[in-house]
Amino acid sequence: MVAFVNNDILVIEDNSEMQELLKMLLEEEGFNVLSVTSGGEAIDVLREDEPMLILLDLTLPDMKSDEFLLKVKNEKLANHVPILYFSALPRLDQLALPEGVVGVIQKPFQINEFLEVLNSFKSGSTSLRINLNNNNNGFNVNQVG
Amino acid sequence: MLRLVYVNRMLKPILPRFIEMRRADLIEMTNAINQSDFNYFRDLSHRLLGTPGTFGFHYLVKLAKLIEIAALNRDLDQLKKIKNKYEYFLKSHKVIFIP
Repeated sequence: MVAFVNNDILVIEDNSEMQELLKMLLEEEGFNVLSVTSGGEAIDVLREDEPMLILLDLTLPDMKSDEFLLKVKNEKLANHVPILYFSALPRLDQLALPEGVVGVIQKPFQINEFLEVLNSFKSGSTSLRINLNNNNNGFNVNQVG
Repeated sequence: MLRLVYVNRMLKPILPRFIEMRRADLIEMTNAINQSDFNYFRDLSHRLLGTPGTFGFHYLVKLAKLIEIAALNRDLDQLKKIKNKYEYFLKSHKVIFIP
């Protein structure tokens, strides 16, 4: 059984290099990282327990991200777990964010800014809405609600 | 021309593997050119738009965008030129670690 504790992040990413990079960066910051490469694997993990945060690559090998979110919703998994989209696709700033998705991180990202955003979740700031800023390969964080 | 690459010091432990992967790209690019495998280049461009930029290898991100266009146009000559630029960059870059 997968047992999440505080500061656990589920990374859903099929690019092994990016997985390795995220794991190193996040563990250095004190997060516990569980990496999976597909939506199916992620569902299996979420059936067992809930992480603090989900980093979801928009291009999964086995299903569309919308399909993944629907499965999560239908099975009532990760009910209160914020999800961050994560992608190198263009025009992400125009993307409408579905329920449960609190923001989008554009690849490539600036490490310091990325960690700043991720660390904000440690204190339970799930009302953050992260807006993409393509011009500097980073993102802005605005408090909402 | 020497190209300086500014890499966050946190990434130092995994930089050798990153460089190793980029050298592997070169071998795969050569094979893909020989086989006119444009799908490979589309996948490669997508991968290069992610990790290299975070490492600070922004020149590779520029090449990724060129690869994407050349692959879409099925332009083998252009892909060969880009591969040569990629190879030259890997031989000539210098990494500087920053906080």
